[in-house]
Amino acid sequence: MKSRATEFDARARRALDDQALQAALSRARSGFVDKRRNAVAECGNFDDLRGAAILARERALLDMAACLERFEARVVANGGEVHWAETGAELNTIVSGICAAAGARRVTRGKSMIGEETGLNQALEDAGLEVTETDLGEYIIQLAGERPSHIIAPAVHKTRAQVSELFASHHERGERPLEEIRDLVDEAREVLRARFLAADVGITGANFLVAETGSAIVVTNEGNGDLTASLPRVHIVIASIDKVVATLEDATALLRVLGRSATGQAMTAYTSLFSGPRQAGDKDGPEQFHVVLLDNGRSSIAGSEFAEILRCIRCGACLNHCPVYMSVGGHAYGWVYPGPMGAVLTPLLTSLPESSRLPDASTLCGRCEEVCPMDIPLPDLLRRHRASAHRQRLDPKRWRFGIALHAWLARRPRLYQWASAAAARLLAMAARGRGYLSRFPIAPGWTAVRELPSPQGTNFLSARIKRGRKDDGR
Amino acid sequence: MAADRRHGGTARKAILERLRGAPYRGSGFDRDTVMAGATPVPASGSNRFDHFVARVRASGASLAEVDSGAEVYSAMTHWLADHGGATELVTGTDAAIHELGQHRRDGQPELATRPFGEHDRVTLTHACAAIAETGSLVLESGADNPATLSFLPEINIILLRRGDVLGTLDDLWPRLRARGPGLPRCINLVTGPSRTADIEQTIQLGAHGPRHVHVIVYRTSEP
Repeated sequence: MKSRATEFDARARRALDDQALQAALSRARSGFVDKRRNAVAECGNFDDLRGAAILARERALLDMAACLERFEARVVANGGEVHWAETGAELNTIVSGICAAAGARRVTRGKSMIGEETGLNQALEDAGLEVTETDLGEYIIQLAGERPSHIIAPAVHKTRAQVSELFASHHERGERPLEEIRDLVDEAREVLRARFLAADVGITGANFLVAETGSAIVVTNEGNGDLTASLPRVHIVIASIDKVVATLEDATALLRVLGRSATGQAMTAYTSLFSGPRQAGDKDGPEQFHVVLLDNGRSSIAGSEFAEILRCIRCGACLNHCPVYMSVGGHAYGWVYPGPMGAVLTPLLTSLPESSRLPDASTLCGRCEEVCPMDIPLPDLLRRHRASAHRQRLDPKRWRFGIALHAWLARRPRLYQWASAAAARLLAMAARGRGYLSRFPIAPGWTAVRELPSPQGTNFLSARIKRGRKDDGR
Repeated sequence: MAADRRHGGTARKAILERLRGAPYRGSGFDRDTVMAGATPVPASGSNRFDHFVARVRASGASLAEVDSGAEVYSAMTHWLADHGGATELVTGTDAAIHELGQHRRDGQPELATRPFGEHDRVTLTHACAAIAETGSLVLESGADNPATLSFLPEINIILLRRGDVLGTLDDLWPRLRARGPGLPRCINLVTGPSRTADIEQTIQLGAHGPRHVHVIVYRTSEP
């Protein structure tokens, strides 16, 4: 999928003016934040769970190559097939190939951000296949022709009225009530049930790949992952290489923090382990089981100074707690992954020149790091991107000038002290004894809605020096 | 041939070489600590079965206990009568289910061992275990309990032996390993009915899977 991260500023401005989006975001914000807080409180030992989960992730990441080989060996022993793709385009080709070899015409999809990364649906449709997203949120945005705006709740930006309109125009069912959420969900259930049953190939993602058993773990609340995996004759799992964990116990440690961090659930309705095609005696299940492993830059991130972002388990907690994400929504970020983790990952999976605005879109308040179940130092990683962007001269000229000027002054302590004392006196004069400035030339946007407290007329350094002279009797 | 099921030679080689060439740097944890093994979370102190029942109910499923297998069929019929009734319960070849089915009386729903059909409403499955920690029922795919029966109906009734309630998820894995190498095609951990909050963050049950999950726990003479 092509990155539009360079458009962040314009998209963010539009998002702030979008009333429907703002209403949707404010509902979502309280929902996600409260649910997570309740789940953590109810659990009682969340920090212990977090510690165990981090170690589980580290175990696999430190040994990624060997874990992947073990995983592959087990899948193959179970009767499944494993494919490797370096790029998104390769993954699309592989999946299209499997579908073509199976004579497939209709495909159902469980939610997978990997599919967004590679633009899988477009590639399959170009190959003449009918593709239906089955996660309700993904289905809604598929109808709308949009991208997901959140990694857990893809249609979080849509209101009930908007969904109602989409269903009314896309489902030919005549006059019927579509006001209530229950009516909408019931209609989606019926429409999608027909697609589930008609599919030749089902493609799911995986939350984790268990090396010990060759299993793909798929976590849903709707059950669409299972209907996608178990009904068609071919089941394809698409997953990035960093999804691998060593053992079932390690997967469990991660599951314990995933649900709580994402939706405030200790366990989602359906946690399923898929380990191969149907076995002798099975009455249902796919005849073929394929896992397509995607690199797309992860193997390079592993050895870099951004390695820790690979610990991300895609819970979305950082998005839910980010004041920037919750003001502008996911589409402003212009690619697949929004919010803090998206601002770190997007430059790494696409390029920094294409996406340098994203690490800038942060106050570095640190809420993301606080709620991250994997203790990923997101503000530090964002700062590293900013430093890289500066070195590559990607930041705006006026910022570079300001930074250069400050650096020049800071290297001359006497001059710095004189200049800041002079500035303090000038600002105090401009405030005319009121103690604040309602306008400040360099920051008109900031002072349009805030008052800038003015200095008293002297500054700490001058006062300290003066006092020092008095104390020394000079 | 197993070798035929491994694909992507050049990509595979390149990816593994890159991973080994510049491996993950880690966060400075002591490597021995990291590699030592998982730290399982201790089970909650309270009574395991009561904890299980509470968690099942909290997940939106309903649960009934009966003293013996002989009472299961009646308990099931009774519950179904309050939920729209049913003449047939679609099921697999699970031996325990069919044994319990011998207690069926005239007028009670029949077991139908066949694939789920368009007009069916209710399925009957038997869990191989349950997890008190999360209130989950564990089901293994196979002819005995085809996985699709857990997802297609409006109502899924799950039978469970009281002695099969385990403490935590970590208690489940040794059990599965003891079966021998290779897991069933699919293991489902079912925790309540199907649900979605994708429209305006409002929970709605019965998204694609069952609207109702009813668990019937029975005792056997086995420990």
